[in-house]
Amino acid sequence: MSDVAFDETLVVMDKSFQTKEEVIETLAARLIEKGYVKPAFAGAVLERESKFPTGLPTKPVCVAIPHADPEYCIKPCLAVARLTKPVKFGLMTNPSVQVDVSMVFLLGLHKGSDHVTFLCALTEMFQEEKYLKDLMEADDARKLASMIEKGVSMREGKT
Amino acid sequence: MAKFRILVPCGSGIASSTICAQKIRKGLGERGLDVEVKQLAFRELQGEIGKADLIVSITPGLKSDLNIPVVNGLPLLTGVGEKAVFDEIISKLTGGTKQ
Repeated sequence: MSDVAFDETLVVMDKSFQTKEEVIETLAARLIEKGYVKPAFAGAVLERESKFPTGLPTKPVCVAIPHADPEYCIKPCLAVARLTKPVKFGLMTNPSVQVDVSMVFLLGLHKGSDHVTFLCALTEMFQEEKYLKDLMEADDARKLASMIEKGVSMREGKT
Repeated sequence: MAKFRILVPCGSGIASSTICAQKIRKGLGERGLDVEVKQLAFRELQGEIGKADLIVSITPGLKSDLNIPVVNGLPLLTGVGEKAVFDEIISKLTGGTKQ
């Protein structure tokens, strides 16, 4: 994932949030602080989420991949939250259905094909039950970040 | 046989549809089907429908009276039930009313 900015400082570990808004705002604040996305990014993500939700019923826990239109992104980036208590996201295909999401992958993306391999690798990763389970059990932010980096890089080679 | 054209719309045409489109290219390629898969933003869909054979849907809000077969692509993103999606795409492309 050489082109996508991500490290342990972009991981929020085991915090308790009440709503998806809180999670997205917390993660977005980190990306804004680093200058990877524009200040309006958080609002744009939330607005998009209300029309096109991003909750996915993966196993053993559900994930969400919130993002915004490319114009809010300065440098492609990823921020991740692992939640002690799931928060509700709309199901991607049907906003009236809610899924209990335990891991949130907030994506900052440009238009174009440069992030295709990264996205596919990330998706392949959380499609594997064992891998997602391991991510839920990682000891700390550093370990979690390194597992995601390794997991994505390994799968980028494959696609 | 002519090349099939598949559209994958999502909110902005950059994330979910990109993942989904890539999976379809790979999955159908492995099954020996010649397809062109295009990911696009939902708002661009109307102008493209006439030139396509099938839509793989992963977003809400798709009208039900579109004169084109639609397949639910959510399993391609969750990994749960992927094979059934490919089977349905192939059956709708090769055995459907359009061909």
